[in-house]
This record gives sequence, C-alpha cells and structure tokens, in this order.
Amino acid sequence: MKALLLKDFFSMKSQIKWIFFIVLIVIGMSFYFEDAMILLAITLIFGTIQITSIFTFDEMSGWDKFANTLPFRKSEIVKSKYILSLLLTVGILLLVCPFVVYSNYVTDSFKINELFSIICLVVSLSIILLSFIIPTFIKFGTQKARIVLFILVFSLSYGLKFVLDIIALPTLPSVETLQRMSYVSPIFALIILTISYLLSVKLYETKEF
Amino acid sequence: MTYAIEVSNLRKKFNQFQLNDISFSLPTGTIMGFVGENGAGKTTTIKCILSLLKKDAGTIKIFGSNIKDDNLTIKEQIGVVFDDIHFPETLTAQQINKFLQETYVNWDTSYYFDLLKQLKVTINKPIKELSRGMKMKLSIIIALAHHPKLLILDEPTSGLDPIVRDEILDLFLEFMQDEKHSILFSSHITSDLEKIADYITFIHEGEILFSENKDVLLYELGIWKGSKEQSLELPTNAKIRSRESAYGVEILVKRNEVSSAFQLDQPTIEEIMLFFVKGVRV
Repeated sequence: MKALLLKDFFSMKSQIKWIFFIVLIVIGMSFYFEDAMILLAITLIFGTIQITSIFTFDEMSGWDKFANTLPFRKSEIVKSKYILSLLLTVGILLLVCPFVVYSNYVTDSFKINELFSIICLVVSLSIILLSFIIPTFIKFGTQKARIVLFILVFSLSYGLKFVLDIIALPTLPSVETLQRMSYVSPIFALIILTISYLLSVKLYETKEF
Repeated sequence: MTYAIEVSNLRKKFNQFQLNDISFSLPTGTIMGFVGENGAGKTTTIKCILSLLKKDAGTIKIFGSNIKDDNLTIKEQIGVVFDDIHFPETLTAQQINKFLQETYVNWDTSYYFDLLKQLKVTINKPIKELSRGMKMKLSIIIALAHHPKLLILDEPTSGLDPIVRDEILDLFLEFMQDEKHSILFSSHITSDLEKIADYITFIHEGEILFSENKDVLLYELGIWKGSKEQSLELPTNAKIRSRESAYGVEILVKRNEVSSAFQLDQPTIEEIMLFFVKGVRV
C-alpha cells in the first residue's frame, strides 16, 4: 500500500505546486469577496477531483497492466486510490481550515456551530463525489468516465429534485434539525464511500489489461 | 525435469481472434523464444500467463502452481518486461527505486543502482526524457533487481539498435548463469533468439505450430533448393514444407531422412517461420 501511495505521490509531484498555487488564489478570493465558504468548497472539491489526474497518468502509461504483474492484490491497488483521495481531502481541509476560520472571524459571516456544520456538509459532499468518481473511472476509463460522471451527477441532482417535488414536504425541517443532520452527514458519506470501494474492487477484479 | 511455465490447452476468444488449445512447457534453467508474426497471439498468451487476461479454458502453471492459488508469492519471483516501460512518465529511476523497495521483499537497491551504472541509465531524469533504448534498459533492470527466478519478456528488444540489443542479451545470459532461472522471451527478432534461446515455440494465428529445442530445429532440419522436377527425387517422408521461389522450389526437410548426396543449407529460425507461414505442407 505504501508503495502505491508513493508512486501516486511521485506522479503528482509536478502538479503539487499548481495545487498550492490554486489554493492560494482561492484564499485570496475568499478574503476579497469576504466569503470563507468559497475557499472551503472550491479547494475541497478541487482536492477531491485530483484523483482523476492520477487515473489519467496511469492510463497514459499503461500502469495497470504493469501493476498487475507486481505482488499487489487487486483490492490493494483500488484501496490506494481511495486512501490517496482521502489524504488529499484531509490535507487540503487542514491547510485551508485556519484560513476559513480566520476569514470567518474577519467577515463575521457564521457562528462557530454553523461553520462546523457547513464544513461537515462540504466534506461529506467531497466524499460522496469521490465515491462516484473512482468506480466510474475504473469502469469506463478516463475518456468515457468524465461524460458518464456528468450524466450521473446531472440525473441524480434532477432526480432528487423530482422526488422532493413529489413528496412535497409541508414544512422544511427546523434549522436545528438540519444542523444535527449535517453533523452526521460525514458518517452517511463514509457509508457510501465503503459501498463505492466494494463496488470498485468488484469492477477492477473483472477488468482485463 | 521441472518446469517454470506449463501451459496446456489454453483458450481465449475475442471477437475476431482466438487462442486455440495453446500448449507448451518451459523447462527450468532454459530460455524459450516465443515467436510469431504480429497478431499471432504472443502477447495474448503472455497476458493469460500473467493473469492480465482471463482465460476461457485450459491450465497455466508457474513453478508447478496455478498462478491464482499463490498469486503474490509467485509474482515475487517473476520479472516482467513489456515492449514499453509502463510507469507514469514523470517518475525517475531514483523514484522507481523507492517505489519498488516497498513493493518487493527481495528488492536489491545496490544491484539496481549497479545495473543502472553498468548500462549508463540516467538516474534523475524523468522517464519521458529518456531515449527508447534507455527506457527499455530501465525496464529490464527493474525486472532483474528483485532477483526473480523467471523472466517473462514481451518484445523487449523491438525497436532497439543492435548495440543496445546486444547489451540487453548479455544481461539475460548473465541472469541465466543460475540454473534455477528461466526466461520466456517473445520476439519477432529471430536473430536475438538464435543467440540465446534453448527452445523455440512458434505461434501462428492463435495456434502453436511447434515447440522444439532450437538445436533440433537448426541442425536436424535443412533447406533443399532446386527445380520442381529435381525435388521429386527427395524422399516424401523427409519433406516438411515447401515454398516456390523465383529460382524454383525450396523445401524444408528432415536432414536424417535425406541422403548426403543432396546439398542442404542450414535454416535460420526466420526461414523456418516463413516455411510454416508461407509454405505449403508436402
């Protein structure tokens, strides 16, 4: 596992300075627009989708063909992609959190509990996005996966809106209820991530190289 | 006799191509040249051996075990070289060492760097900046530096100049100094195989046409050249394949079935291949 993470880290090395550069620009933007949430949402989602670059590097070099001749289990190869993505998400979160808190302190946009619930929601969104990205890229490859992912996200968003319209909730849940739901959202996201991992392993095991 | 690889009745079907009952065995301590024209099924067979493709039928054993039974242990003992280096192009030989140190139990860093130095492969340049020859040398060094018992090589010398090919063949011969080591070497550069192979397995349109000791092929077969009328004097049971040429007819024959009165040329592997692909059964 460490080996696979090292290889992905080396592949990304040339990109890391660009990631930092973009994070710095977004930090600047968040102060300029006095909106800490821009910083949090953009950088986290940006970090999450970095895994697509790794898939692209791997596909361009025919990495999987070679990796499957090395003493790794297929599940290990898949797991390394999830761990790398989670490390990127957590790393970027740790990097931008002090700026988010400081920016929020300066702009006085949210109370601390509101801020925490927003962080929980954005992290959950990143994890759910990741749960869709990895199996889609494994199944379809980098070219088709982007289109499939777009269709998937588009249909899910409109599907959800359609269902909500049908249910037609008489009243929206209270702010307190929504806040409590946001605190547990990362657990929900991690359950989706686990299902996604199991699906990805199955898809990878059926692949031929 | 023990075998490094045993393939029997391997089948794999695609839309427009199939491997049909592929069977051959690579004895331990030998080099087998796996030859055939482009699209004959060499890479497909190798991919099945490495479980990169799922076989439809047949059995494949490596070191006497089915590769699926003991996957990781077997993979620790195999070095694989494809016709290109399949590492992301931004990696350097130095970084590859760090990766492989964590990959193989027996990874030998000092041997890896010794080989890089011996073959003059640049350590700190990204792969994308290396020449094709350098990339292939690096690929072969990677396959050797964990001291495998078996090398599986799929066209490792294609597109390389004779100097680099010679250096690479020397490495393989050095590897074969240990009698427990074996090599399956797929190539259509038959002159390379003539230099180092002990056995030649010839695949054509997804079928094995022969799998034979190289010396048997080269010294027990001969090429007779003459006119059609003259060829009638050759014993029928000696004739294997014949080809028509601008000057008459060429016939691949079994030397021991032909009287010494007939003048025979020693065939090359390439000529034998051509007889089997272009020639007709006599």
